Amino acid sequence: MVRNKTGILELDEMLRGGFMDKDAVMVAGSAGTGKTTLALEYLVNGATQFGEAGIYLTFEQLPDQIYRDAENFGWDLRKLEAENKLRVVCTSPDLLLEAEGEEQLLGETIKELQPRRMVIDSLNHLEMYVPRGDLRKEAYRILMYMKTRGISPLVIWEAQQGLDSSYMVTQAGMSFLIDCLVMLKFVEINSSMKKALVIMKMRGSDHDKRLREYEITAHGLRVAAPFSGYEGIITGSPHRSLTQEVAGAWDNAFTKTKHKQ
Amino acid sequence: MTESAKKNVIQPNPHSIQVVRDAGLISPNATRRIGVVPVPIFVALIAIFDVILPTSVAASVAFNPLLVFATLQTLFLFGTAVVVAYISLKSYLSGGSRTILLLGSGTLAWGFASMTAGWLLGPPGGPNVAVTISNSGALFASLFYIASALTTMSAGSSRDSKQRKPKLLLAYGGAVGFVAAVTVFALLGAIPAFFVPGAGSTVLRQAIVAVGLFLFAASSILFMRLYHDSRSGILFWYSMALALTTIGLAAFYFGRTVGDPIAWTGRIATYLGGIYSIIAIWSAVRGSHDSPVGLASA
Repeated sequence: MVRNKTGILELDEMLRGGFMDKDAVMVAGSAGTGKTTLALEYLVNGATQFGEAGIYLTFEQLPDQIYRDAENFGWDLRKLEAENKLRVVCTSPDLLLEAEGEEQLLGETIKELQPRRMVIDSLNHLEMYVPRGDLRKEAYRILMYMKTRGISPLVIWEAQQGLDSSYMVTQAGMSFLIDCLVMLKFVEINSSMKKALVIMKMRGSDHDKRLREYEITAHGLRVAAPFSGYEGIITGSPHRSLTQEVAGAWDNAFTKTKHKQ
Repeated sequence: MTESAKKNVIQPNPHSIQVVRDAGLISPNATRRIGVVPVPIFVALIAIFDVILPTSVAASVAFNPLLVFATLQTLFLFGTAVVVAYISLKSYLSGGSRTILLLGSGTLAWGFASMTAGWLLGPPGGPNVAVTISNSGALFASLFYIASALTTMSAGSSRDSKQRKPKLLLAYGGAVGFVAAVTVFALLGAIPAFFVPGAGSTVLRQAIVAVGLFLFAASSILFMRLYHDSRSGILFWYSMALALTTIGLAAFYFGRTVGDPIAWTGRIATYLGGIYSIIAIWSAVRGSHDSPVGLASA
């Protein structure tokens, strides 16, 4: 079974080896959770570690911004473009939505690069140009266009995260188009904001169901240990399980006094 | 400010917190006072039996329903030890306190040895095997307990969380492994006799029980000292559990034969100790620091 490794060791472990080849992957999360960083790292690692060229299609940022932001993580996108391992395409969503738009926009690049990976940042931008009811149809058309050309698509979806930290990606009504859903979100643990990653869905494959903390480091995403002992993180009201509460009280009783001495 | 205005000022009541915390049927302090009562009773009973009970009479009234004994040992000593060891395990993995690691290991050693001894009392040569396992387990557990109590005065936590699992495996595995090894060697007759039917305890057993008894008592006192600083219900009930176990060991020391009234007094004391350790866990469930604290001392 072919897997597309992300190159993020812990994430690949969670995915039992990587995303399934040609699966439509959605990375969902609120602003600032690191969706673009994860997507870029997926492309850069694909190009540098696994010999898989990629396309980064963005409606959001200008290329210079992307090059600059990537440099902060040590990724030289210009060099990868020069080596025909990556292409950054900055365009307007309406061009993609035109009849044969994807072919006109990407056809030549696909022929030239023979990419295996592609990121669309983000699907939300299409919302501005199509009626709500047509979004799924357009997303389906674009995803199928990529899949039929042997490209594994990864789409970014900016999901709203309310004060209660809960949101439903499925509200967007696109979950049926997506084979793998990676959700990023902020959670409040012990009065500090942490970032949590969970694989909500992965068709046809086992995957790690645990919610894991991650950090955006100087070298990209680093997935840390699971939030063991906490319940209710997804729903936005994390609290420690009864066992952990008792264990914490047990620890306090025997160690707190120590500090007083 | 006029007198009527003064009357309208709401003054904070420093005793209000205490009132809320004492809202149960019995206040924590009263419960703890009740919790102390069995200690002098058991001590008095052992002293009385030791004075009034001739060895011949003790042997004639010895009562050893093997299945009941094994069940009691399993339920009150092993079962309760597993609960404490499990909570200690979770606590150590998240907090890394060596005190907790050693305490959990000692509890596991004591519970496992007690259960094994309970089930091996019946077969031929059983009393010596059972006594060997039980007493050796008690000594081994007491070493963990005293180390645990001593670390409360100095050692901190293990910051390297990656090392916690191996350390935990080593400590818990060591506790269980030691008891298992003693069991095997005792069954093989490779350990000098602890108990000779008809003759009673050997010097070896008395020495081991004496050391274990001293260490259990010292651990109990050290934890009780901590309780006086923190007023934590957990520490109170756990140190009382150790005190009752100490009394149980004293009964081993003074007992004439397996299953005599002194032995049963000691056994019941240790079973109550098991219950007290569960009450300690229950205190943790309720939030541990349930002692009445006024604003002045908060």
